[in-house]
Amino acid sequence: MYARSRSERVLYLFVLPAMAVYLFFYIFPMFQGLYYSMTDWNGFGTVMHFVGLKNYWHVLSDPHVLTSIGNTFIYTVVVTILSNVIGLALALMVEKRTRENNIFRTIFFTPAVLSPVVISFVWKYMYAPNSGVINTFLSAVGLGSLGQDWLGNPGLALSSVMFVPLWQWGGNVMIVYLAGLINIPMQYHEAARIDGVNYVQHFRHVTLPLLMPALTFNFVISTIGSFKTFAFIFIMTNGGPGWSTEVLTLTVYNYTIYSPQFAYGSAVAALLTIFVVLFSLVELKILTRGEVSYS
Amino acid sequence: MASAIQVSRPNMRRSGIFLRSVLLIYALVILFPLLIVILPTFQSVQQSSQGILSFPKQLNFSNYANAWEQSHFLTAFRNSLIITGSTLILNVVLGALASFPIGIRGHNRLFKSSFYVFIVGLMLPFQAVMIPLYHLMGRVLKLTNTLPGPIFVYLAMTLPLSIFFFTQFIRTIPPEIEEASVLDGCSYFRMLWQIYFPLLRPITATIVIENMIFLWNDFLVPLLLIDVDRLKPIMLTVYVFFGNYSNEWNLAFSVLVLSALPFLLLFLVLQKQFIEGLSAGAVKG
Repeated sequence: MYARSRSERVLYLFVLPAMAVYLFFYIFPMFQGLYYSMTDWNGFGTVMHFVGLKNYWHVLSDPHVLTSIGNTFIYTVVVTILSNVIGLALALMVEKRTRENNIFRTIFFTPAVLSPVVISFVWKYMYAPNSGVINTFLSAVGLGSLGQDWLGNPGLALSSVMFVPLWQWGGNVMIVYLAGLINIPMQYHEAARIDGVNYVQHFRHVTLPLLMPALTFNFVISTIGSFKTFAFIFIMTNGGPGWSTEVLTLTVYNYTIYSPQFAYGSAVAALLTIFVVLFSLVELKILTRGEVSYS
Repeated sequence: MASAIQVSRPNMRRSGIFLRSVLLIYALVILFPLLIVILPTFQSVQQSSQGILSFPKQLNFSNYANAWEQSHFLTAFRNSLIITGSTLILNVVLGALASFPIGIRGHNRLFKSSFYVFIVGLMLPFQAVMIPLYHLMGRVLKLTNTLPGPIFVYLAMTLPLSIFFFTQFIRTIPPEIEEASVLDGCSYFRMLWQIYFPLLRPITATIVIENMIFLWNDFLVPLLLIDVDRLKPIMLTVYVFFGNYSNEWNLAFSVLVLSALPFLLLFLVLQKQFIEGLSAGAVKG
């Protein structure tokens, strides 16, 4: 018994290296950031006073930060919902394992292995106002009047930006739904067919409830990923025109690099963290309540 | 795999045509932007001024040659290989090591709470740690403008996902395996690498693919930590190159294509493993 418990202690050492790296390079800085957010530190001097929640009131009364929060929420809700609609529709359409469908799956998934950096430059080129692909194409087919300054028009820029993650991630969401569809036992589909249900009833009462684990996964992953989005907006619009596409990750970046005000930046970062954690946990709670098991 | 829903025959043919057209249109929407950026890379500078949709008269590889040279492509590629490769290896070794006790001793309070501590990292945005990390790496540890700098940060960022996947997988392995090896007098260390690790192969594939896509393609961490050219990984190089050559689309897009090509080829060769690996992770998770 003594020998056993002694060798058991080795197990604690197993966790140690990963835990040390993770705590030191991720969790410790996070708490440090929380502390900065309650000081008046500008990032360079050695002067640092504790100011409580003052920075939070400051950033929350800044109309630019409020716009940034609003855009972050619009982006997250729209991208999460639409990427799931697209991904689920694609999965249902290519579900049958034929050679043709395999080719479609590969094509749909391809953008997901590319860097957001690459994708952003490709779409910046697509959207460019004068020499851009979309506008050139529109005028080539005589629809030049439909041409837009896709990224330069404040009313249009956020929509143009949000299209890009949908384009890139639709196929990725599809893959998860396909895995979920394969896991549905055949007998449920057969039972429904014998009962003579139509397509909509079948989807509503058989396929969708059994797809809930995949749906939960996709929703939570898309929500977290959308809150964290950076490269697309940083490269395509850098938050502009004006503040029309500014999101929280960009606000933090600007407070770090361009006009270093570490205390304000840390407060915005803390708000972002609270949003991500709160939203993904609530979402997880609601969605897992809807999961069923027919066995 | 039979189709889930059967429809009567004439209906099926009509809906089949409709379905196929929708899929074809969507495939075009995906492929068109990816293919159109190849056009300017073969155009000469004079030709590109005539408009982007003019087809190159002959295949002109000089843009690629110039882009290769001026972006120091090989250096960037090497840096990316070092950063991605080292992170992946350390990630799998440290991740498996940490997940083993958490997986087989799930009832232990300390292991249980370490699992939750790691899971928090799945939600934490990089921006939450960016400012303190910038300070820590730059002024305390002097790890900015080194390759180990981003490797450590990436390791901390990718461990939560690996530990989540590894732990879930280890929990499905029957405890009899452990009991049998304890009776044989096997140490925990040998038990992990010789008995458990081979069983973890499918989930290891998922972890490697998932992390590889992120590591190879990220530019935010190096953007923060590296500003000397000879240490920049590939995506940061592309970003900087586009800034410097924003008026020369031909060159800029050549670098873009070059940067995307290796990973795209890897994906096309291993697409079955990629897609199966990623779906395995999603279902197990």
